[in-house]
Amino acid sequence: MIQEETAAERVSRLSLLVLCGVLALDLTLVVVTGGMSILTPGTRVTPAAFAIREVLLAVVILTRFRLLAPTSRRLSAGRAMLVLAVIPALYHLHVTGRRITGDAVYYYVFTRSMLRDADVDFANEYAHYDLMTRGDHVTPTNTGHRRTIYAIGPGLLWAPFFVAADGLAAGMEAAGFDVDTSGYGPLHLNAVALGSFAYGIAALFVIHAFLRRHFGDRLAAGATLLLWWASFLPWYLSEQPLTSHAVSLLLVSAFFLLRQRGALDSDGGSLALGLALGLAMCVRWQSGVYLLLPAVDLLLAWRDGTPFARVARRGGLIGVAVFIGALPQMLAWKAIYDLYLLPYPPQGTDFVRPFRPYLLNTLFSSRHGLLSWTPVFWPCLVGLFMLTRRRPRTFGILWAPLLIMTWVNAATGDWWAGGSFSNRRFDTLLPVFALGLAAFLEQAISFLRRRPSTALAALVLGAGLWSLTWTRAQQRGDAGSVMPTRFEARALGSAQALSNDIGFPTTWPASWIFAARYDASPGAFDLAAGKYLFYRQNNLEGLADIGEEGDGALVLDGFSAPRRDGGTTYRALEREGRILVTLDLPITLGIAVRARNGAGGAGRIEVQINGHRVGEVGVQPAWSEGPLQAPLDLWKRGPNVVTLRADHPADIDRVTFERIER
Amino acid sequence: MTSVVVPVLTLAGIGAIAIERRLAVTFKRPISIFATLGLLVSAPILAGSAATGLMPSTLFAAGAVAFALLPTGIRGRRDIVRGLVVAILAIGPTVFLVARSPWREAYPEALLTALFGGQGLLYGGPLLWAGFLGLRALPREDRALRNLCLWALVPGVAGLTIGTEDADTALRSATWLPFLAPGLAASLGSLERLTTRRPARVLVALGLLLAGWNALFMEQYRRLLIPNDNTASFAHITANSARLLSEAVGTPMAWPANWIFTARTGVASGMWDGAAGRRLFVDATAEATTIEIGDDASAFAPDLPLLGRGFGPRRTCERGWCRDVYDTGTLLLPLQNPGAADLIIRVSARGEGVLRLSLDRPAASVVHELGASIGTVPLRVAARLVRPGIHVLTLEVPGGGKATLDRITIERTLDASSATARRR
Repeated sequence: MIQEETAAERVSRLSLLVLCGVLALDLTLVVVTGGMSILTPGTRVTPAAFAIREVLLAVVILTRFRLLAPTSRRLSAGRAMLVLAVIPALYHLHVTGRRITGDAVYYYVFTRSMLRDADVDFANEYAHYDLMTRGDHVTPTNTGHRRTIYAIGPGLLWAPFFVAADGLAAGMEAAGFDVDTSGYGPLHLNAVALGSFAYGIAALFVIHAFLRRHFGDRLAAGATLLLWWASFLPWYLSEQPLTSHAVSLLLVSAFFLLRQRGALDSDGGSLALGLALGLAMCVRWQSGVYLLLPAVDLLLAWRDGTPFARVARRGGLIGVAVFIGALPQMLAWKAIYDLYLLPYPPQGTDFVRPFRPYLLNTLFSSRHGLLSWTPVFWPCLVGLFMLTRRRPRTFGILWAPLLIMTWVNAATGDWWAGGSFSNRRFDTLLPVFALGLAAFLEQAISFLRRRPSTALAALVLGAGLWSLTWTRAQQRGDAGSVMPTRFEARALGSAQALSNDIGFPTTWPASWIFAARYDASPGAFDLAAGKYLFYRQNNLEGLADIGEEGDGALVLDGFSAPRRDGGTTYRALEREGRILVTLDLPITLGIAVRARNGAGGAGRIEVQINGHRVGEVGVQPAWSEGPLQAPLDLWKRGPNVVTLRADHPADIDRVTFERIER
Repeated sequence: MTSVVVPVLTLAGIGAIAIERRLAVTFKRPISIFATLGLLVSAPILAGSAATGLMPSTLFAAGAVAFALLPTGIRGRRDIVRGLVVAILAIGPTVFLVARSPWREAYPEALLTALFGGQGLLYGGPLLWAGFLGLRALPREDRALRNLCLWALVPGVAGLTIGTEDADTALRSATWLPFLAPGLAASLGSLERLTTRRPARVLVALGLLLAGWNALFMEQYRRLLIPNDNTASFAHITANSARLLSEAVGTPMAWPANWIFTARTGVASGMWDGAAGRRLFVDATAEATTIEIGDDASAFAPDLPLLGRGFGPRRTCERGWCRDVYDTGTLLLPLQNPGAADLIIRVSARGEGVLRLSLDRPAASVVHELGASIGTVPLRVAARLVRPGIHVLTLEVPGGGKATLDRITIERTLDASSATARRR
């Protein structure tokens, strides 16, 4: 009887396994083909049907690997939670996720060029994507290749999925379907996107395994899920999967897991560790910072009595494996630039400015600040601090890569990481952040158990924030004259009142420092910090257009609300007003103020830069523009306060700044 | 507003001390303190006082003192007089205001609006939900206290079903809000026990909030509601998130009234907040009102909360600013007192083709040829078809035409009592 039961169980497990495989294969096919299914061959799979398939697969997985599995091989509760969390992420990837967008094209051209043309000459790919006219692509390099500033790693690691798409395309062609086999078509893009997504999901399971040893299954899963859903990760897993972040995360997480599992205790482990790190460097060169950790580990092992020869051998093996892992990048550089190692980043010598970091902006600005956009990283940092206090020898070293990478990201020319959801360049630090987050949650659980009234205080504080900020908005006149209003308008009024009074909470303390430094409202930090007059993309092109939409990034105080006179938008200046303009470096600038005398007659406006008088411009009843010149020594790096002091009320249309070459 | 802050805070402080002292008899500290604070920040005392002076805070303090002076609660029939006193105290302001109002009518939407409208009690103070829900937990603590609260809350809430032409919920609820304190304390006590037993659940809730914020942030970044690569105001980011949430599932503070509204009218639930409780007529004696379309560019423009689907962005037209309607547009008209005779709606518009106007389709409608310059399209709606509440005005331009809307004027005919009020 017992044997019969066991056989029945085996059959049911096997059946579920087969079902699991079929459903997984079907979902893969739906994603890759954009809607074809082996279960319903005649019809295109709708988003709702896709969701049902996902849920079905999750149910089968949980039944097979949790409910029916032997206790010793049962899927843990934590892993089960992660499996369930994949459902909405995969749905996002399939239904709304993008493919070729932003940086994606530059990573994808590596895959296609390597597999279709067996080279890294992107001329044909750039031509296909209409990128050959871009300034940096027009002129070939010394080797006749087209430039790229992107790493080869993601493209290389996506290769298996591109090959699989080739196989599928061949099969579909044989079956009579019309398929785009150029490598630019949706089949290949979807396959690579799904592959990248799979790397990202695998990385999360690796992070979970890494945390599990320290914090247990459920807490580890909680921390992993929170980091996943409250950081930039969903964006780069599902919305923009064709970027380097998922692969990068997997390799760095694997490195941490290997290190935790004692990889350095064996030659094979050392090789694996080095290879993971080498490949990670091939994906994002910043990951090289993590070489510090095995180096310190080996030094400590030597100090603790491990023979020097063994330490040296393991160090050598790591070095060799890192070299092998990083070799594809070196070969690519050799092919493109005729150099195995570039003396400076491919973006240019000025791309990383180690002694000019924008730390506060990188972490807190509204231009993709890490903590202001994704405040989940606050508990990560606090938790890491707690962990370090508890076990400094084990976890203290993690601050080194964290601080170095933060510094490097802040010292990068575009510290805001271009088009980015939050600051994506911190992706390689996610395993470290996960550790901190799990430690924070562990401490928070213990704290709440001891002081449960904290939860009550938080609830009352939240309720107070909701109602009192609105009352404050009404008091300030920020709430409009008509009540009631839409939720959106109410949220705007409340958030504006909060920002103006004490700064938006996720920008603390940077907005306070800003307010103290410029004697302004902390709310002005949001629009001003990171808005440049000339520097890099989306700058003001030297124009402070007063009265136009978005001039909140410029106006500090002293001006009226925006006004319009015909086609001219302006703000009135009663006596003295200040605007803030941000420079990357001090330079001599010509200044022209377009203004008119609000009261009629003639008047003058004195212009000051950072409290130093530059000169005066005359103001007439009609709009006129008066030029001045502000020498280099009046300006400073970062925000500069331009004060306009009028002897009579004046209307200001714009202040134009012009670079004067010296 | 600033001039009333000190006396209002003084009165609220008196009320708070009274409530806390009474709560401390039944609940341990700091639960009594948090419940009092929660009630204080959720009750519309300060905002209500901005509109109607010191009266809401005075009544709140009176209610709080009464609550504190009845320490034993209501145990049975022998305490019926005490119950009646509490009930009279609770319903008193409503009776007074309703009696004074030239127009009054009991209808269910009045209750939903008073509780869940954009100026509703539970909308402005969602923590008050815990005050109602906590009453279920009260018998274990003190059955007599629960009875006392019910004697105040039942008539108090029931009184809100009577609509008047003024927005006076703050005033009408002031005396019975203190009786929510025990329920709130009981809820907070349950939360405290849950936190002690299962602190992880509290963290899960916070984690969900954080993940929710992130999801909304991502969605607005995806839809390019904020710049892809530039600075943005976090106040606007918050507003965008609020909009996305409201569009998706309705404003949480307005649940379930906004869902009922959608089920009744077919209009998106996010529209409820700005329309429920909105007074279109400037006062009880006004017989006409005008909604200017597109004149105000701000996020707080008076027309925005009323505009449903189908309206284009603001654009200039011959008399200032307008909005275009292609195919079909809907506009909400909240009417407390529709008047004693037919309601007349005049739409100033120009365009191509014909404009079909319907109120609460298909109840009343008219078809009118549009011209090249702005003209008036009148719609007369029989009085019997216009009940108090939110109405949906549908504007249809069939056959690929376009209507450019400048303004909408609504005219009502007041009855004798309102007219008397007007003469006064």
